[in-house]
Amino acid sequence: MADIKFGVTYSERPDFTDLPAYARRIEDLGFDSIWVTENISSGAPALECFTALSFMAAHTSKLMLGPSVMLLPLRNPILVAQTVASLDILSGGRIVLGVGVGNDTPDLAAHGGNARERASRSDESLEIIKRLWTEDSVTFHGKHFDMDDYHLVPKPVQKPHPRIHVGGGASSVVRRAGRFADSLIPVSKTPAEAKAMFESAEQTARDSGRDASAMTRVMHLFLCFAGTSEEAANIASGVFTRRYNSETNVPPDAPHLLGTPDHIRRTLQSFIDVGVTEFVMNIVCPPEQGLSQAERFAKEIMPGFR
Amino acid sequence: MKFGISYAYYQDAKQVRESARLVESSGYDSLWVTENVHSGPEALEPMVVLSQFAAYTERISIGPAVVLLPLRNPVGFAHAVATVDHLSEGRFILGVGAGGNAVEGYEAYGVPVSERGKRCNETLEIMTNLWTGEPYTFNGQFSQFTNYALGARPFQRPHPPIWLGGDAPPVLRRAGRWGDGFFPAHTHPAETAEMYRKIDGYRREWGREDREFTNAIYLYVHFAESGEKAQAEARATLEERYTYPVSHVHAGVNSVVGTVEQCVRALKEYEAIGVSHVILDPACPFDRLQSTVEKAAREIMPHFK
Repeated sequence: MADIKFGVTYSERPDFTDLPAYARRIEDLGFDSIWVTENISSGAPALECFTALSFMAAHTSKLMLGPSVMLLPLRNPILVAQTVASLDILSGGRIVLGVGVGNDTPDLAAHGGNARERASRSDESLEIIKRLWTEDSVTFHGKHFDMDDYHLVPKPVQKPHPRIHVGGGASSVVRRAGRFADSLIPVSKTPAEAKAMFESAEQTARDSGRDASAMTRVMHLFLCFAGTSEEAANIASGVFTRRYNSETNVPPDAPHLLGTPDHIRRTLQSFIDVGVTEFVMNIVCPPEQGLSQAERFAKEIMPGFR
Repeated sequence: MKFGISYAYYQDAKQVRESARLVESSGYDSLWVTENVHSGPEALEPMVVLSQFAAYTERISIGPAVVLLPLRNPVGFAHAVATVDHLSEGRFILGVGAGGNAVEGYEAYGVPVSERGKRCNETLEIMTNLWTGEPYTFNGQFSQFTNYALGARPFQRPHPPIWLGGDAPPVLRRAGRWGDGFFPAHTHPAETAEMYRKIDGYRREWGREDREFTNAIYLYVHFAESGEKAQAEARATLEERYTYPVSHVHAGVNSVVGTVEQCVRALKEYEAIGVSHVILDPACPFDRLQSTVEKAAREIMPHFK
């Protein structure tokens, strides 16, 4: 029980002047991590994840920091490896690399990607990133990337390398997590579904000759305190609709932290019962309420799980 | 004349923090970080260093000197620039270059060196349009998208100043077309003046002559009791840094390397041709960075206020 970790996100804002105070307060409240959601286009203004995380690193000293999630098909793996290694140095070893493959969105097209290749590109990227972090010289000839004798310097501080979280819901995500990641993060899944996904990822890890026991079970959940789950789901739907500039409906009975403190506690426990030890909580309320939601969680919920 | 410091070889967060505070408290106007990729010296990725500069300073401008623009995705980079501009509350200057001779890493990034100029131009066109916040359609050689809009515009409007680094003819044209400033590295005063003059002509061709423009220069700095000693020490530091011979640094000529008197004289030459911002790259190991930064602030800068 003592090992349950909690982190919260920083998402869209009208401006970003609250970021230093927000990051420091999240640290003071006893959270373990802070996460930046990636939202580039169409909708509410949000920050680029790596530069925002570096800024947060400067304003905090204990929090783990990561993107939730960074979309692999939008980026060059060498630049990701270099940037995260630099961030790891600049944060004193506090970086977690949360990645996803995203959907067939305008962001993907604008970055020169295409839906058909995003999975294989992501697999190659993860292999390249891990090798650049841990090997002196990397030669790689894949379908999407080619390099001979590439030396990445400097290397990350964390050894063997910063943890990699792979987030998502599809079966291909589970396989990718099993092959490359230190944690799988199911999104919008029930405890039973999440359990099956974790077990499948861990089986893939064993099949790939990796140590599956080193993988941790992490869950991504929406968080919004409200008088009822219906009310919370309505607020969340409005937030997502604005965030992504596209109509979104979050059902009140979705397996998320939407509603009363009792409901939130029960939902957390149902995931802990299937082995989850870390929660990334995506605060889905209007931006000006982000901090008060986190404060409520720290005061009313966290102590019961520590 | 304004002064800035450019350095890249930080080993940890403490060095970044202390250097940023030192440069600001010593009275400089700007703080820069260079970019190196592939097998070179151990330099950190510049944008995340600049985010920390934003956190540790309040007054000075910050920017990359320069970022290797052809290696960056235009859309993602436009977003990152907008972000650091917000985090610094409008203190960002975007220094860009195409890599000069340092293009070892390009192949691994999947960017043919022969395409770097065209990629720079496309990226500048895309970014300046995306920064308006309006839906934008682009059909170029390297990027194609329809009605795409960035969620976050930069803090500065219409966008942070763009400074072009380098000295090749295409760079001068690019500076005239897209630039708000130009900073060649280690060019002698006479040739620098000629470059400024050419860029003025290109700016007129593009109807940009009424926009504010900064004529800047990027120079190494290192002091010693004699010009010979300073030059030899600076070259030794740079050869270790770059692992290739450095013969283009001449004390008291195209550098702020030498005795204080030599350096002031050299900078007077640059001032005379219209340089308004000097970026100093300390050609010394990190343990001598502080004394170099302080000495330049104390003994050089007062001659140009």
